[in-house]
Amino acid sequence: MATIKPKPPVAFINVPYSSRYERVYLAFIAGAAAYGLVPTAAVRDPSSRFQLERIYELISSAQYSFHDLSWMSLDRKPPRTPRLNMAFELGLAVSVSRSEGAQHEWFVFDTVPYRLDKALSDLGGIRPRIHDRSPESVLRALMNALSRRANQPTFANLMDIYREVEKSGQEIKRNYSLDLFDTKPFADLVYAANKAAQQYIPSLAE
Amino acid sequence: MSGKVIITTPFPTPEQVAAYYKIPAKRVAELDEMIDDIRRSMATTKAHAKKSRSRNGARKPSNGSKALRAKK
Repeated sequence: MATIKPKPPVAFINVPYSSRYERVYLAFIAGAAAYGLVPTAAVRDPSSRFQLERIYELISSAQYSFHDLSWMSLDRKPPRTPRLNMAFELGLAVSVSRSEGAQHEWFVFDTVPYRLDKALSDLGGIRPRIHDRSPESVLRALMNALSRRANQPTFANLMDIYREVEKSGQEIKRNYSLDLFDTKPFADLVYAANKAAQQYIPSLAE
Repeated sequence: MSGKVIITTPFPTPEQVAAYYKIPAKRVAELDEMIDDIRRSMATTKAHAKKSRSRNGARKPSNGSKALRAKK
């Protein structure tokens, strides 16, 4: 009789797609993989379907989502506008988590303490996890959000995994894509992050 | 927003991740090779850093000898 393996838990990563956030993006991929999650993001599965439908499906099929709302500035191209996608996707995740029978946990991240109280007062009383856009601070924020019953990674393990993912990103840039916020680089980085977790979390490497 | 959550599900294997993303076997082999190369180069860099640290430690000039060189 064939055994059916349970599907691995998926984590939706919602960060600004900007070179300024590349290390944050890599840290979320490395961190999610270090906790045994399969990262997914809006970069995945580009198709002719409506963007909204596609993102809703990605979020609703994920058990966890990480929302970095720290990009609050206006862009330079006239008319100067703020990026509202991250906040919108958080709204979708909140909605998914509140639907009947849903198993979805969402987490909010920012770089400035108490700023969200002003920018998104509907989240009043909810304290985002704070980081300073360094990989170390993102990984520490993830450590405060996640824990594992078995194969718990240490901070040193997380940093080793991050370094290998960062090197993989450099190789991808050298070989075929300068933009890591794209479908194929994302899948390759997720695979590399999982391999790094198998290597650097001692209980998994045994 | 969730407080701290405890994840109890087993770790996904690289094969599961590759299947999830529909990464073809050929690409998986290329990625495995890339990762092996990265690990080799990281190990070499680490060994170099360790070696030069111990060497520098043994040869670190004292302030006195620096001052003497400056005088010359």
